Amino acid sequence: MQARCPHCTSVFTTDRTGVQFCPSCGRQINVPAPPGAPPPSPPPPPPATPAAAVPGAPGGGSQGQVLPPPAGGPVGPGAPPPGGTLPPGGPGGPARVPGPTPWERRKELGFWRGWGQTLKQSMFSPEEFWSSVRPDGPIGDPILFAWLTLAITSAITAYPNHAISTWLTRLMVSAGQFPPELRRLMEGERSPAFFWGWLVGYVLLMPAFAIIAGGIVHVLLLLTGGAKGGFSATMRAVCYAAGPLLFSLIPLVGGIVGSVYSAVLFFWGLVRLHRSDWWRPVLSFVLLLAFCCCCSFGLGIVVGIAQGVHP
Amino acid sequence: MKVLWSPRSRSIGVVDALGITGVCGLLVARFVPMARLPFWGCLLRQRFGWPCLGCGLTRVADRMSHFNVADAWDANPLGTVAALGFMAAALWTFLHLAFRVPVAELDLSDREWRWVRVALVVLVVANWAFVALKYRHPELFHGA
Repeated sequence: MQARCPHCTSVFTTDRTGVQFCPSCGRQINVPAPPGAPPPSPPPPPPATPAAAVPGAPGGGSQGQVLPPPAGGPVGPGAPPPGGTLPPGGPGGPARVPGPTPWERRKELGFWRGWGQTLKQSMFSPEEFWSSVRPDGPIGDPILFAWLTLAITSAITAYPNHAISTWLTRLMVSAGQFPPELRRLMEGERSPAFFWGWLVGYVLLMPAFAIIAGGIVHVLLLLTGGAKGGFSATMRAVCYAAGPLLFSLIPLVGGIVGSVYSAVLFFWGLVRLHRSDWWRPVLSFVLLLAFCCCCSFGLGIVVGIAQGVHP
Repeated sequence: MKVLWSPRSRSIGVVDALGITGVCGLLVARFVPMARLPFWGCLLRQRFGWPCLGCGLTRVADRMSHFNVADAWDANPLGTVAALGFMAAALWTFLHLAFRVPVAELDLSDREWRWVRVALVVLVVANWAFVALKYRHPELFHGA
């Protein structure tokens, strides 16, 4: 029988009902007996874990959820590929059992195949993909996926993008009346040292950026009530939504299209992985914009440039 | 409200994410002289005469990175509290990642979360009122 942990929402296989510990998060849960089944077996003696000392859960634990047998077979190492052999879901369809993504099964599938399949599923079958991603588990794999995707994109697009931005900067400097300090700063961005420093720093610091983004988004989701799946779910949405950044390989418009598509996938992932209403992630993003001083600063720059002034 | 303690591990959670955010933000504020950049300043405030909700947060980051809590409070009290929270998260992240110190996790009921949201909205509005009043009527705070 399969059960879902109410704390980390992970699905696991168990051969008994009653009080037990979630193999994923380690917390104590109570798996109820399916309808028509004999009463649950007595609970095992509680081990000395932090979860066992949770107040309000002495000898009981939170109520787990018994799931119907999955259509695609058991969950685990031998599970079918997510979004692959599992039947299509959606409203009214059979429920998908979340499991590891192809990238997380790359030891079995192969490194590049796992990456490619995850990329393909996340970009071209997002509903199937997000419904099949488990919200729990370590965040190292998703971060590695996003890192690899971004590193490939940056390595290929960095120089053309730098050339285009240099050209645009030159146009702006020649057309606008910028203060001399700002002009020097803009011209400094064209130097090779800046280019290489930016490229290496950007790629090396990407995992930190992903964790920072995940942390901020998760706190805002907590405030809007849209973080039911835990921090791991938010990180998965952040990282597995990075696939469309590959659109940046298309000059000029590709970066914009990729960013917008990536944002759409990101919100999609948050809604599916946290089992949330769509407006909660959107409200979180609006809150982020409202509180971010850079937002006001950016608006101020736009207003200032439009009115031909500078502070 | 329940306080849950994570098992002893180095797995990264939301407190670690906030800690890393705090470290990066305070390092930038400490070593990049943002306020001295030629284009720095809020044109929105200068143009319309009203500060926004986040007014003073850059100054808070700058002053908190120099451990100047009093002046940071003067710029934006709620931002100072947030910065102190980020610093605490950074310290805890270090302890968690270096020594596998457990991380506390608050488990709030829906009702408690509702109260947290209401309290936060009240705090943000009160904080903005303070900042706006201070900007528009500085004589009330520093004497005539």
